[in-house]
Amino acid sequence: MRTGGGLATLERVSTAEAYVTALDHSLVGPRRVRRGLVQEARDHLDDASAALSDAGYDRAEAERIAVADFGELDEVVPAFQTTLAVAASRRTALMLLLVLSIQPFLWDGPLGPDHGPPPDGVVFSVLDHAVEYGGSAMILVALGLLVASGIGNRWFTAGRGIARLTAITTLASAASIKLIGLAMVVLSSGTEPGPWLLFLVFIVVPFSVTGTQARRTLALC
Amino acid sequence: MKADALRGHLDALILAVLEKEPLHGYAIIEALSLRSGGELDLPTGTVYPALRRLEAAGHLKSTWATAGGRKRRTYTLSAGGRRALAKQRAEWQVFSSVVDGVLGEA
Repeated sequence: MRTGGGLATLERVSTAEAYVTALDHSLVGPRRVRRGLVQEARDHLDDASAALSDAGYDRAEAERIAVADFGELDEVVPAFQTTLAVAASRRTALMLLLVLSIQPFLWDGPLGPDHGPPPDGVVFSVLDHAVEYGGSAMILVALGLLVASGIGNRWFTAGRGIARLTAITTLASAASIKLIGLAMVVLSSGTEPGPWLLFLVFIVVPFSVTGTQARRTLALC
Repeated sequence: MKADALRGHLDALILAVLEKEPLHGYAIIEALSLRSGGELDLPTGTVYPALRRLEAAGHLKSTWATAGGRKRRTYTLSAGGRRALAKQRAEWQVFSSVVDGVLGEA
């Protein structure tokens, strides 16, 4: 592997620990994944420095070479950051899939037309079909995004594009389900507190949390 | 050999060095360097995102294990990874024989 390169980095970061600290501060994303990546970098530099020390270099020189071989922060950070963005998008897709999966039970159950006469009118009918077919389509899309950011790597490299697509799709899905849900509860329930409570617990809260996760993912892309 | 020339092949190289035994990150990079005769010239730090990607793809599994008295994240080739390696090897053999046929001296 490379030896002796990375002078610009070495001027800023002279030891392995300083390099790892700078790497840690340069990364944003899911804490567990980030800690794992940084720990692996630290372990690598420990192992490389130890091997170079065993080969006769003094410790400071061994660390300098190990850091130079690891790569400039400018070239290492983007690759690590992509890993974090994809990990965040996988979590976002999973959350979207989970919150969408409870919707059929909600709309066929306590918020559905079986629990009271469905209101007449084209608007309610359109919304009812939108939540049924659109929701089913969103579940399939969420499943596809989850697969793409995981085992999809067998066929293509899931990068920031997939992460960005997941975040934007999730934000759009969350906003549309909340709007459709709001309209349907207004049309079907008026001021009855029960449906509003269910709307709040099973739609507003989970889709808002998922939307927040999507915004965090988008910020990483 | 520069990193650009490796683009698209790094994953297969990683799978190949893990074929015989599980290894931790530094040992994987050492094995890559050893088996390439020191010709691979890439920032070693860029191997770690590739390891994570291969793990997400289901080609590798990782666990924390003690190696040489130190706790290290250790990667093992999965059954899917072995199949992927066999496929990439076969594709590479076809590709290299085609290129050899064209570039080789007449």
